[in-house]
Amino acid sequence: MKKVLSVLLAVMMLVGITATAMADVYPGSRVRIVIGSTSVSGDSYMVADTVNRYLQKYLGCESKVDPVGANAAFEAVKNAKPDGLEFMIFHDMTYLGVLFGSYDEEYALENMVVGPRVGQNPGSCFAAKKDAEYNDMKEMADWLAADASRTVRISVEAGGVSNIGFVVYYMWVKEAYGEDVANRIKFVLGGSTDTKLQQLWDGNTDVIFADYSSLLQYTAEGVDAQLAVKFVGLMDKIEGVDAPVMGDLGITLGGEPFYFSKDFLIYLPKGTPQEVVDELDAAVEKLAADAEFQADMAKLTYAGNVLKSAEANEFIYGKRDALAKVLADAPALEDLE
Amino acid sequence: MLLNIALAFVGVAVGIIFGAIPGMTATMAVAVFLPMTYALDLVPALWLLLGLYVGGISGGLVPAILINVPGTPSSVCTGFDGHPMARRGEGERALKIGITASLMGGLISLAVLALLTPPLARMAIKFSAVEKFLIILFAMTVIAALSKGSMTKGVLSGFLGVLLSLVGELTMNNKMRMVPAFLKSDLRAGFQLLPLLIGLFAIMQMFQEAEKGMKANAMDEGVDAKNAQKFSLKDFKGQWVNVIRSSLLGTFMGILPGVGGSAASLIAYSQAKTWSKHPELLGTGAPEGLIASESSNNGLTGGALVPLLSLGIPGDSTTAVLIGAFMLQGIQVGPLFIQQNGEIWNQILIALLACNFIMFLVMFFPIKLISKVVNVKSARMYPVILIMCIVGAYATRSGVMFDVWCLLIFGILGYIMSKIGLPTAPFLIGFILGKDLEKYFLEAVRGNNYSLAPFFTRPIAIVLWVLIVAFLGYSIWDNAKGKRMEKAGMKD
Repeated sequence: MKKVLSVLLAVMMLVGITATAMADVYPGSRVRIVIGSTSVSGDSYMVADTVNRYLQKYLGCESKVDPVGANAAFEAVKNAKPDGLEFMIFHDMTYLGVLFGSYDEEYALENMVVGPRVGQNPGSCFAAKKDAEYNDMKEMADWLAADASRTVRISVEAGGVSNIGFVVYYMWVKEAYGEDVANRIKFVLGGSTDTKLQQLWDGNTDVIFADYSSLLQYTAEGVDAQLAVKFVGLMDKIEGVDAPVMGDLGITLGGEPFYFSKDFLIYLPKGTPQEVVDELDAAVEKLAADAEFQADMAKLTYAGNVLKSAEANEFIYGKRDALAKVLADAPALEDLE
Repeated sequence: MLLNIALAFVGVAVGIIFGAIPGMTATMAVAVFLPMTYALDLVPALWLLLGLYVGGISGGLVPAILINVPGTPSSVCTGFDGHPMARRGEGERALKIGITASLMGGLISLAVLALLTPPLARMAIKFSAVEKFLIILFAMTVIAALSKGSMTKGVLSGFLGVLLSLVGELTMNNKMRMVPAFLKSDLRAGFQLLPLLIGLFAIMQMFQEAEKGMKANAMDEGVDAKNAQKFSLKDFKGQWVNVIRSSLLGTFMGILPGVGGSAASLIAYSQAKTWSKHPELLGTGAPEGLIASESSNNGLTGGALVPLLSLGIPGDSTTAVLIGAFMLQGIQVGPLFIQQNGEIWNQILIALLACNFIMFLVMFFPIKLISKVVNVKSARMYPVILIMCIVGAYATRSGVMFDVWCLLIFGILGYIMSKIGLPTAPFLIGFILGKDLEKYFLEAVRGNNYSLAPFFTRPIAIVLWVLIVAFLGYSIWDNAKGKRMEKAGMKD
């Protein structure tokens, strides 16, 4: 009898342990979501905060978004326990920082687990003062080509999405109009959107890179002439928005029209079990079908286009490798000052 | 309306706690509460967030006065005179003067916000990187004012502070400066201000007290608190010019995006010293210095909202977080905000007025109890302060242990500096202003084809140069006069 009881107890314990191991990680857990920005008004925070509110519901966890900045977020992903309770939601700068040499290989995608995509921001754009003599980036190149004494200064940040937009434009102008014209496109170091706007108003730059929604009010009728701006090139199409789009203007990357949205993915520490990623995938699928989530993202001019982790992996590695090829021939920003 | 007032009360009270804990700031308070505002409509959310803002800015004066540890960077100058007052048993008086000055600063800046927002915003954008560089340089001249009697050492200490502020990544090319390879990850963003600030003030002070042997409490020996001077509105007699000048300076600094609250209180303090009938008393416990610092840093609150609501550009780090509250509600702040959102604009003005009075009520009346902190035995108080400092340093970047090590290292550095006679206040000022000084200098020269001419040809720049030179000249003359009098005194 004793033996039977012992065996029964052992079996029950084994079943208990297995059941615990297989149980969902998130229900009732506390989760920390880090983002690669310290701003709480930029797209990184807005996307992460919106996603977080719905993920809490679908994962059954308590979670908090920590705007710690790129370096601290990468460190968090590198050093956190691979239990899924601490992860990062961030956009393309995750791999661009390494591609541009701003961050070491230890932060490369290969040293993380790529989770699902939770949203996109198609709103990266270039804008100029309203009274600029060109209305889009194609006209800007024509304007430069028409007079060898003209230059255009574009304010971007080194090592990020704006760097990509700048380099792609520079290389397209070089190919389509020649090196002389391209070399009159000058890099100006920007910062946050308000820093860049002040550079524009001060006359310290001619064109700035920013987020579509953050500049919308400056393009409206009735804005003081000194403050008014116009969009000269969106990096991707935004539904219902009538503004020049770089790809539609004929600006190409590797021979193909250039369209670029910021993709926000979940990045987890290396070694995170597949079960955890599956749980996130299941929650993200529910996000895709949630009309309220989609409406909240649309209100911010973002898209709730989600991808499960397997597709997100393929997508983001493909995007990185395609950009890496182009950037191999691209000049460094400091050479274009 | 009742809900709004209740939220403002909660905001102000929590903000004061954030401001009073060294290492935690108004910006952190607003950022922590931001996600919660999603459940509220925009107007109640703004009452809560503005309460946090006003409370957070005001709370910094409490530790600055009572334990000589500025709760926030903008209350650095508060301790210069507030703490000596507390040490001679006038803690309650100092706190009440500070709170009243804060209220006045807040109300004056609110009046400016309500009446002059559009023209001031237009004026603010005339201040380019050139003028901002010169304003920061002007703020740095306070180093000269604070270094009376040892100007060479003060200036050297200030330069060291500037040098240290430049450690980290140069955003222009993402290259590291003055960073050893093994600290590349920790020092990418450079040394953080708050651990440095707390280390230099709180930890250094603990080392000094430990060396001397812990006295019973923080008051000077032989002081009888019962004989201490009490607060009365007469403390403000002859100070109205100081109050108005300092409040307007704070408001003006708030209007200029990217200049910051620390520069506001530094400039206000140095101006109070310049125009004072008894400049030699500032730094020894003169209400004048306390009034200048506190009315200017609260003057910032209304000022920083001017560019935010009329240009869409935040005036300081806290208003940058406030943009998030508008965005979460789907409202864009920009040049048409006031025009398109008249009701919200009115609510912001009413909320700010209410929050200033609530701050006064919440702080002024319980101050008798709070001021008793100086009577607590040092042996009991310092462990609590140490824990608060460590928590504050750890919270600076949401949990980075490196910042706690920095706190201790800067405490040791401060102690060594005090031993070799290098003043720490100029070092801190150099550190606070150094990064912006470089940023605006580079932006100005790059935006002007590497020409230095705009620094000397733009009209506002010329005015600023005149102020800088005049103030420096006065400080050097005053320093020399002080030395002559000291020599004469020694001969006698």
